[in-house]
Amino acid sequence: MLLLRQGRVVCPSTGVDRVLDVRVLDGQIAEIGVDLAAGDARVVDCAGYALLPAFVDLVADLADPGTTWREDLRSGSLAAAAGGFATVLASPATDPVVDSGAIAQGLVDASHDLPGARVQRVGALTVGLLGQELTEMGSMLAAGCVAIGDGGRTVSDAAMLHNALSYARPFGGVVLLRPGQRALEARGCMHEGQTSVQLGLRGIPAAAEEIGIAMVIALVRATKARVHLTHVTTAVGAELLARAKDAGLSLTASVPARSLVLSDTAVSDSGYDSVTRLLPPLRPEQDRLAVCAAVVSGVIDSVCSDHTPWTRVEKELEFERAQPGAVGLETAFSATFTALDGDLPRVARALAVSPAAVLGRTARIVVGDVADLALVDPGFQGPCAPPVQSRSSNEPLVGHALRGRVLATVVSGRLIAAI
Amino acid sequence: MLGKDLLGLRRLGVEEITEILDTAAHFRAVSERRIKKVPTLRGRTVVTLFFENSTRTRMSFDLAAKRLSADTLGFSASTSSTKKGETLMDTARNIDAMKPDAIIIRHPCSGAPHMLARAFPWTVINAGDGINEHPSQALLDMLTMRDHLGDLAGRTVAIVGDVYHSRVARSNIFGLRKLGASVVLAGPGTMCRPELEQLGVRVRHRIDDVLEEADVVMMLRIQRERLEPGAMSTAREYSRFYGLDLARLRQARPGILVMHPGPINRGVELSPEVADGSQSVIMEQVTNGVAVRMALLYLLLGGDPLPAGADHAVA
Amino acid sequence: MEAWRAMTARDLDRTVRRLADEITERLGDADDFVLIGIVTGGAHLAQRLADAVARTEGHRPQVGTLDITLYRDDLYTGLEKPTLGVSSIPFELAGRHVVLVDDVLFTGRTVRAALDELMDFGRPARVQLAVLVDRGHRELPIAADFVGRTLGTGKLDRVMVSLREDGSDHDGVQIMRFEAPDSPDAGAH
Repeated sequence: MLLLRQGRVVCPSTGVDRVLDVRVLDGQIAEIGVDLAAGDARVVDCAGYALLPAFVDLVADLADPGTTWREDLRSGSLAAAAGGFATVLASPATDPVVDSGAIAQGLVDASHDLPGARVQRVGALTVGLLGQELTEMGSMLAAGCVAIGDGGRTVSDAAMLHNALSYARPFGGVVLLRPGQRALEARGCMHEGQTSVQLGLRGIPAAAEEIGIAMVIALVRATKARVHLTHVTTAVGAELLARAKDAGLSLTASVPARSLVLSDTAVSDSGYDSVTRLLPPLRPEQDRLAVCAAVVSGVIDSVCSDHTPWTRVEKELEFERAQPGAVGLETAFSATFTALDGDLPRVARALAVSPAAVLGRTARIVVGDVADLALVDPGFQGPCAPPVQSRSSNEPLVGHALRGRVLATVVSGRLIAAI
Repeated sequence: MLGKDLLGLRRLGVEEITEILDTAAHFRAVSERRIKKVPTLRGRTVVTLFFENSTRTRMSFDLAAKRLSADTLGFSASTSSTKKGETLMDTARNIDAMKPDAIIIRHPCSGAPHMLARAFPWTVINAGDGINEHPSQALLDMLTMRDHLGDLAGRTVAIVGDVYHSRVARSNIFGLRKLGASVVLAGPGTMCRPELEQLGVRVRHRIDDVLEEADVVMMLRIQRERLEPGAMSTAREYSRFYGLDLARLRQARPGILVMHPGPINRGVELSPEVADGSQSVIMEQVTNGVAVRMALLYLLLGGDPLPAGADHAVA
Repeated sequence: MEAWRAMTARDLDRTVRRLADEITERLGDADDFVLIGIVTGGAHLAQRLADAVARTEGHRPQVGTLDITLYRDDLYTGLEKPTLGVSSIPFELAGRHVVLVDDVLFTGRTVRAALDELMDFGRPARVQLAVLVDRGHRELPIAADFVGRTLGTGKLDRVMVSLREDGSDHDGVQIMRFEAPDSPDAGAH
């Protein structure tokens, strides 16, 4: 039994935004009110802090099974909880790839009873993530996978994607797609533009993402599949998305939290440090600002962690040889809060309400709902600290001035301190 | 004053570039003596760490170090453990354990020298990284231009060819712009992209578009290994629009300098008569290369705080 | 700290003439020796000595310069890096009689460096040393063959030779004293 006292309760779904006490009992929210009696509950003084519905992450690579030196279910679950997430979707990009009903069943069963956030599985869209053959989507969803997608890999072949979306639609699961164009992305290692020209690094044209988004929009229109675009990071991409939504297309999208605060000059500032190598790459300032605006306007409804842990083995290499990606579970809230200028209802919507809706769920602070809560300190300011719970430390935000931090996460009524 | 390393010309100031060129001019004299060696860097160890084949740059650095009495040690990727999967950082840690004073590195990845410079205390000299920079080549090019033209401010240098993938071109652009020269580029659309204008240069197309105004024309080598497939048409078409031959040279300013970083693809970017002609300063470039590299080693290594006991001033 | 003039312009001029006389007296005709000055002060003095010889003998000896920067033994001591000067010996050294010229003889390290460099240019028959000022405090077994003036100095003192060729508005030698000339090998000989 838990009594969260005097926190600012921010629940965009119900419109509540005021200081209240919240009682948690048997994994559920039991009572919300003013001056609730403590009884024998454990009291957490939340005065000065805020209580948000706990976050839901649609995009995270937890590396388990296969490359557990980078991350494992336990460390990934703890890292997610340290970042305010109660639910994290694990990418199918594991070894073996989650691309059959049997593999999915085994992994769903193995993902219970974790010490932090609950981990749920995404089943692959194409066998081996190779973009050539359809997976057993139906069996994977039946086994407990909550979405279908190829993780960070992009399906560039239009005919293949058309088939995959057509096949996925009747099963009902949402399809997570990273928009991109493989051949163009293979050509470079950072955003092609002023900074890449200055640094002499081969560039990936923004066209790669734009083509990917345009293709997905056309195919969603054709197949009526339920699609969520992960990683929308360009101004033109956000504009394409806005136009598609205006035209009545049902399509949701997310952006990695770090892309809201970092731009491609991080590559030059770091002196070619591979920690800044990402896919999609960091974008110029004008794209960053456009994407922030798109999150504010709701065109991009969700923010994800895009957690991609790599250790020294994969990162202590020449920039163009290092694996792209960065961790992000433990910093997603601070980055989002900073980028959205401290607007807590908007942060709650982007990190909790909208991603939950993508999965057909709610994220609310309402009596009777599962007690998934994030306790945050909106007054905190300081340089971003290195990750603590993740097994990897490839975090380009370290040292960056950020606002706000997560103090604790409640997962099904269980309180997990973050600091 | 130069810092610990020479990674490129992008971040160097006019004073530093001028200091290097002035010093190099002095070092040319050493190579003309009967005993072409001075004891300046006696007891210092210079390692050349080349992950790409290059005979001339490596020889030039090697000779420069030897003429300054440094001990030199060569490390080739083809004969070393990198073939067995050792990472650059692990290779560097091994070399570090042998206590070098400077490492001269050539590497196919842009930014590789920067990575070593950040991680280790010794001097790092970039001898070419990916498509990024080749500062010593640009410095010797600028020294050669200065020999013939004097002050480079207000001069126009045309760079023709695959500028996008050329570290020589990029270092020259950074350096020449700092010295006040104007740079104009010509080349195929895949190699001379408009975004290069962000480096403060003008981008044109055919060689005929730039030849008339140029005091210097620098012809780049076509490096098919750096081009992605489909980025170039035939050599014949290349030569027709971007190659330099005698007929074209006649339309240029009298006294125009023809430069090439070598090795030349004769008949593609440069016709043999032009390469060996009176306007060509290609061999001077090679001579100046040794002097520039001696100057770099002297300026970067010559003044380090070092061993206890060497505390006497000369009077 | 105190500073005073150790040699006036007239002293300096007279000393140069006397050194020139001594050199010709001992070494013979201007064709029999060459003067090589150490950059920068010594190089200017070598020219003045050559001029003085020319005035008295009617014939000017050949003059070269040595910049010893690349031969110094203190490049690694964290001092500011000296600018490179020009070493120019536009004649054959083998078999010649060389008079090395410097302005101030102090520790002897400059002369050591100059000798090393000289040998890299060729193999002279004989090398002698002429200096305007010998201020003592030798750290190497080196002595001058022709000395303009011996000055007692403290080890930390600075001896400054001003020459018009260097852009100075006058000729002369000044001592800036930082300690008394009390060490045993200092002082007037």
